Amino acid sequence: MLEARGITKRFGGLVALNDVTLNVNKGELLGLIGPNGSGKTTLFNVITGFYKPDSGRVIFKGIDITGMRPHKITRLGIGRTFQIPKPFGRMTVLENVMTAAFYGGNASGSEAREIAERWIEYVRLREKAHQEARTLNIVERKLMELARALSTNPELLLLDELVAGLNPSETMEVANLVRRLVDDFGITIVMVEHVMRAVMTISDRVFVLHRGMKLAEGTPEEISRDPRVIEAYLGEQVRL
Amino acid sequence: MKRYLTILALILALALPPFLDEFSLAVLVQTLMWAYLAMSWDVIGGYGGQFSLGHAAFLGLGAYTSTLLLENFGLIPWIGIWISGIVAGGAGALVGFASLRLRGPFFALGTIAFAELTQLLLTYLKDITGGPLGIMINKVGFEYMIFDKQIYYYYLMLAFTVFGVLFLRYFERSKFGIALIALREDEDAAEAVGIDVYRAKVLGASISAFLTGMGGTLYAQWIHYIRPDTLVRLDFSTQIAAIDVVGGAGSPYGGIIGALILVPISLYLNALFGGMVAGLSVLLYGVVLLVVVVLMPGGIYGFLRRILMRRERYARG
Repeated sequence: MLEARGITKRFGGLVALNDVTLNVNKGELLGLIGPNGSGKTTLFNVITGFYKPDSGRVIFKGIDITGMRPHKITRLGIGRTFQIPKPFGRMTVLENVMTAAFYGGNASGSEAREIAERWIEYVRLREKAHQEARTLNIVERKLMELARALSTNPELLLLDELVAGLNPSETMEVANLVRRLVDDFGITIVMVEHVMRAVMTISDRVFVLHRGMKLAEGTPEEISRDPRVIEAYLGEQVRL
Repeated sequence: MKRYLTILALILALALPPFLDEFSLAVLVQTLMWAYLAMSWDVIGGYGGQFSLGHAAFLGLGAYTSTLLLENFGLIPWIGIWISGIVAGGAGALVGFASLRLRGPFFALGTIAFAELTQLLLTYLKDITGGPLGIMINKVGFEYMIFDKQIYYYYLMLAFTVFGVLFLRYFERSKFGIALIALREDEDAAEAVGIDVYRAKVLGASISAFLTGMGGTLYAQWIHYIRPDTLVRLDFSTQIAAIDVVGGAGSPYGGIIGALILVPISLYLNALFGGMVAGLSVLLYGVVLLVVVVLMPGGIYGFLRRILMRRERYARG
């Protein structure tokens, strides 16, 4: 479904991504992990058109989307959330999500409301629907971002640290919501996550980035046994 | 409740003029004109969040376009006003392109530079514009949109002001209006939900300039005499923005509220002290703007709305 081939992205002298190739298959939940600064968010930004790669190509459903403007990529069917939520602060939650249905989902006024209400219900924000988005706490903001991204009617959804900052029971609750998107709605998902338990539990496949390069790729079991991953990533946590 | 208030205000606005003297009417004419200009600014400045301080350029371009068409080709302003809008709208698109690269205060500075450039061009292109001496419009008659009594101007400006409110009310609910509001709140998120931010900014600036350009024709027909330095000046640009911000930017009523409060006071102050204390009205704008921005971030309209909403919540228990 999505192929990122040989992506390299530099910021001045810093090589954020070095010849990374990532394939995402239709209908899977891919966990994208790696220590801080390993290039996960940069990769998201390259795929969604916020950054232009210095080399490499991004192919989505057979279309070369490298360097395309973000709104076009959204309309082609890639939705995303931001690591630090970016709500439309002075709009209500409903308006936030409706805007996405309007533009990204190309819905008419009444359809947009229906779609928005459905996803707001799905992420359990119905009680907050008529509050201004700036009054939400961080968890609610992240859930609203999820509803907003879903309303653009994506085939591929990129989630950037959706569960970071949640307590363990909330984490698993949201992780289950994400898993259901794949199983019940047929949406393909790539999720960047720091919370190991969430990633390892719900991912079909895990891709590990380290210092801008691919370190390993495989099932959660393979990854958690991989000595290189343990050294580069899990090892760090053990030392903590 | 709000509807009755609106209807009452409209009846009052329609019935009041015959009882007023020429000076008071002239004050009201200017109040309505500034209200309309502030609402035009609101499209890109308030809803779009692109703080333009160069809207006097569009006012000037509009005034010059219809006036030159009238003087050289005898085209009546009733038609010329549309061409004024188109010319100003084209210039607005340029400013919109600038907003793609310049953010926040840098965009504001860019628009100031744009207005200065417009003034210089109008001054130096003597053969077309008459240069620094300006153009006097020596015609009277309904077809020239030039009247011998203020009351006619009053109804003309009132029509434009009412149109402005209705337009903004439609605009803020339209698909395009929502795009502009979204990009004001967060440009990246707007792109991420599928909004073409570049297009929305350019189009928004263009619409705002179009409406302001039409206001330029109204201004020229009212004042009869246009000159680059009295028309395209920074304090006009800031006045347009200040009225809207004081009244409540990003709302259909901000322009009217701001103009009703600021324009009459500044005109009376100028009439009283104009000779002695130069720049008194500019000072007034500065002080009121400062007070409102610090104490009432949503402008007067936003402040009133918050109070009303709070009272409603109390009433409900």
